Amino acid sequence: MNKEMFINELNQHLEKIPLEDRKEIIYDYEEHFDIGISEGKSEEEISNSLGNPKTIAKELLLDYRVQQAEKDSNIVTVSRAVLAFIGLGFLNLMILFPPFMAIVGGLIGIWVAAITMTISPLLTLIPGFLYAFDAIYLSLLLKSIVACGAGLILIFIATYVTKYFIIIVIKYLKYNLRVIKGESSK
Amino acid sequence: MNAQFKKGVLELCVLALVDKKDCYGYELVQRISEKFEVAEGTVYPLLRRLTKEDYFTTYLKESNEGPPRKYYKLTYKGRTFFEELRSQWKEFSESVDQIIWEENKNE
Repeated sequence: MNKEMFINELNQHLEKIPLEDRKEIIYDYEEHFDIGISEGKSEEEISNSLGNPKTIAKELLLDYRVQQAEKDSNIVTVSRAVLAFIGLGFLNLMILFPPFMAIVGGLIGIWVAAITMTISPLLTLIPGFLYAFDAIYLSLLLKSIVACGAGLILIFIATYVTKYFIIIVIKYLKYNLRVIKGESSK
Repeated sequence: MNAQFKKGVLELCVLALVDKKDCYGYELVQRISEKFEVAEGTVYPLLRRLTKEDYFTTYLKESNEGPPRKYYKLTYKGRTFFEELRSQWKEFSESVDQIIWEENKNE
């Protein structure tokens, strides 16, 4: 593989990374080739020692995903980072993926319940307008107000649980990032 | 060298080399691959990550031959991190050495 092929393939596999970052990355490899060539090495020789551009790209994408998850921590960015690890064939993360998804599912469930409970007085108002504001209805409305209070508490708890879950996942991903560095890609 | 060994050590080697003097990427790659076999392309993602974490800063410098080179310089934060990592490594490798090189005293 010559310089052009190597750079093209790398570029192609990095398409999910924004142009600005991609340019920086490509620059480093171009510099590497140019210095090697000025020292009398052949392009093939240099690209052979560099390794497979696809593997390099995957590793760079992983870094990028983890960085994004750290900068803008939410379930979507974290899940993307986890998937990037799985894409690289991380056995430990593949094993942890089902429990990860179960927790994400659980959190989504809690959020849906918390939000439903919080807005339940509003939902209860609708049949009141359609039918009648009788005694049974008013007791229902009262219950929904209690549910609203409980919902607000649940939102408060869910916020913390979600936040810490995301922090722990990112920490674990970063730990994995450090462990894989330098692994031979040949 | 065994791939498992290299994983964590590469980071430490890169930090150590930049600690001695500012280096450009190619130079670092050469210095490391002289000592042990490594997929050279993976050094750059590592350099990039260490820079993003503010352990390195970079600057461009013209060279007599070939293109301008991107130099890596260790920051204060980077040096603290390196010293911490190095002492952890020392403690760990000495313990392992003791176990694997220990003469059998019972015979």
